[in-house]
Amino acid sequence: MALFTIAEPGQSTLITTPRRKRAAGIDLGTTNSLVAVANAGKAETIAGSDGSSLLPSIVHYRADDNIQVGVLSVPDESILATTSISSVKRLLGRGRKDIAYQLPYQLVDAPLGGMSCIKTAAGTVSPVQVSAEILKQLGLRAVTALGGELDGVVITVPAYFDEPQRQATRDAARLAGLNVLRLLSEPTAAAVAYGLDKRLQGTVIIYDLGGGTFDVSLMKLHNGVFEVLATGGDSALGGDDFDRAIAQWLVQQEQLKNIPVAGDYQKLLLQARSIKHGLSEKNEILACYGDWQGILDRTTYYQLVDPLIEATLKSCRRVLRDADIQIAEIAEVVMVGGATRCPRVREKVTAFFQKELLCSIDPDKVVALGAALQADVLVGNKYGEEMLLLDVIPLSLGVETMGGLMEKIIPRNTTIPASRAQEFTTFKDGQTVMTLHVLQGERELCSDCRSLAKFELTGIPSMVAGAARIRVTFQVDADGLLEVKAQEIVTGVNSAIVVKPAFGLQENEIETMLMTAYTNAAADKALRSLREKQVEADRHIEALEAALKADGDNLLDSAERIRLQQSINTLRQAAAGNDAGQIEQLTLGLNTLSVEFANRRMDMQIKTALAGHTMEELDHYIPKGVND
Amino acid sequence: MNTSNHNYFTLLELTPECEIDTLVLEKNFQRLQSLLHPDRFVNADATRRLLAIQQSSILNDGYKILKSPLHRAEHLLQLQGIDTSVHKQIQLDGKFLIAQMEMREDLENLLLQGNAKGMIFMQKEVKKEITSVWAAFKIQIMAATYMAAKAQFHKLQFLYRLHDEIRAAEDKLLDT
Repeated sequence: MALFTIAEPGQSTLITTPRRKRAAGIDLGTTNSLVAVANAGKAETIAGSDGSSLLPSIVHYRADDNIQVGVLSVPDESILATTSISSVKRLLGRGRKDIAYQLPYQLVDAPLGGMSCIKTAAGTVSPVQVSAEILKQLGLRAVTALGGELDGVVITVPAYFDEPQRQATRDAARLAGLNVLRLLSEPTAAAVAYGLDKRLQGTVIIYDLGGGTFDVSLMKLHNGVFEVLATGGDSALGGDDFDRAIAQWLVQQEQLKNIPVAGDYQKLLLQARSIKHGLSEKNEILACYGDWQGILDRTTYYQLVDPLIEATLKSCRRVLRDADIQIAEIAEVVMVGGATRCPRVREKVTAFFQKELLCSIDPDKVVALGAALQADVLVGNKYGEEMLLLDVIPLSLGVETMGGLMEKIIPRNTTIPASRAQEFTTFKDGQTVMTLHVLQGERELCSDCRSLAKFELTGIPSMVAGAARIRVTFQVDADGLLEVKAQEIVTGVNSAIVVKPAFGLQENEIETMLMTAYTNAAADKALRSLREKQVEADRHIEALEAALKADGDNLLDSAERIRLQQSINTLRQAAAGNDAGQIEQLTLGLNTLSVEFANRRMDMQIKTALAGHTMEELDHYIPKGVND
Repeated sequence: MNTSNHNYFTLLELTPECEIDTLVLEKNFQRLQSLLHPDRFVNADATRRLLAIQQSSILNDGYKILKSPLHRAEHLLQLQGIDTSVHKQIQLDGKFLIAQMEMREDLENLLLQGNAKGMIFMQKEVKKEITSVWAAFKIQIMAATYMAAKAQFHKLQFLYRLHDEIRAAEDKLLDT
């Protein structure tokens, strides 16, 4: 969009100059978020009205529908009517089973699996909505600083974010009304800031330990080209886990008299954090929790956090091996993220890489600064510096094949954009439908990988098994987002389906498609679980009925027998229905009820077996371990 | 890697040969990618953006294939119209196959014993073997005896797979 401006007085003609485009870089963090803008290769973060550039990633939902973003706590009198949501980034694109720790707020499962939502005083909200509130606030800061609407933003995501997490971040931006130029990996953004500002070159490690995520990227920097060679990390490990470890220790010291809930847990975490900061300078800290008071010294503290740091170093080792690079070849180790301020982390990382660490740019700001520099270039503000960022996908993408195995189509650490095709065939004569289950992860079994989507390719021409050739194409764009197409190619029949946002499609179509894809995947999972429960129930009924037939008359009185038979009938009825929970419960009930009968049978069988044998004989007769 | 219809050597402005100058490859790749990458078309229309994704993907693929000696070898054969997906038409020599099987058994034992030193030694042996097979492959390519080259290529496939397996085994030792 070009603005027409009138020339200086004295000049005779009207000339047109393009308006400088307005772009910003956003670091949407677990604990804090930031926004930065750049001009001609220089970037700076934008402070809010409180003078700080860090916006705490906390959103308060009040019963009167008032939403407050970025303040640490609300006034005491409104606490009861307010739900405060922190660390929402950990929930983006995640279901309940992914969250293995206590949260200071309540989760609501999505009706059919998928992303968990949060129960608040103002109703249920999704993590995407909460993130959008934070993004809106940051967008506003940039608009104020630049004096007008934004043309586009670059939002950073952890390098180790998988497809649903990236998709959720993009959706949040869309909800916040921001035009996303690119999702950029956080370590890559940091490398850009160092590359342009500090003229960093060569093979470098970016060690990025934030509040809730850990990333490590091995990159090659050369004349404005930033090439990621390999990336690794853990999208659920960060400085917050250090606090959590300390908090847990405190609760243990008090011998679990006060198990903290919701708001109290939040306070306990804040206390743990201040202890952590205190231990950076002092050798021990006096701490109290409930009735307990005592000392937390450094040795104990190291025991708590060292396993977490070791986990990050393990990722570093894997990244080096993935790229086949020796530690000696590393030119620099760049430290990014607030948690890298922790002296113990620096000590261990220095020891691992045998190198002094680079942290000359504020580790809290460096990601946002790099994102702003990239945004400025992408939006079209040229200033002579050519820059090319080559990112990779962190986790392999593939499909389910026979036997529930994951077949990788695009392996991890492949440079994006990437496109790969693979051919599959039908395994039954006359098969006209094929189900494609799209997965992401490194494990062999599909059940251990993340399910991205499931869809059916219909209209395959009827042929003998193995004759149809179905070409499945995976395409990953520069944001790391996936699109899958399937096509039967023998007869030229063009049955193609796109499950992910495709160019040329309407936004609402994309959303409906995505929703259906997600819903289908969840429904299939639920169905599988139901089938398993039904099979299990049938197995129990069959076994018990056989036993009753054989020994029921001898070993049970009539009342016992009737009770068991009734229990069998109820379970049989339930197993014909669809309520997996009920089936499971009744199966369990029947099991308990039949224990006594099973014991009597066992006794009887042993007696029969023993009759007429001497003890000596038995030593040979009973296999070892039977009586254990 | 999949069979493809592209000539990645031409695409990346190199002569189709066994040995290439990796610095030139890198430079050409970066120059072309600077022109074609989707980041250059953020504000273009959807069709142009899709084209950029496709072109940039092909370039990434080509770069990866030419950088790796094994995939480069395969690509050279494919450019001669040779199907590299099956071993069938080729009888690999029995001695080689037996040696391969023995090495794999040895590797399993080394893993059970937790013998890292043994693995490092084995990896060195494999690398030596790769160098010698690679030399044979090069001669066959130069003589344009492609079926003979294909036999060497399949040997390379075995050796590189073993190489990766040793590394995976080393990883396992490191992780425990």
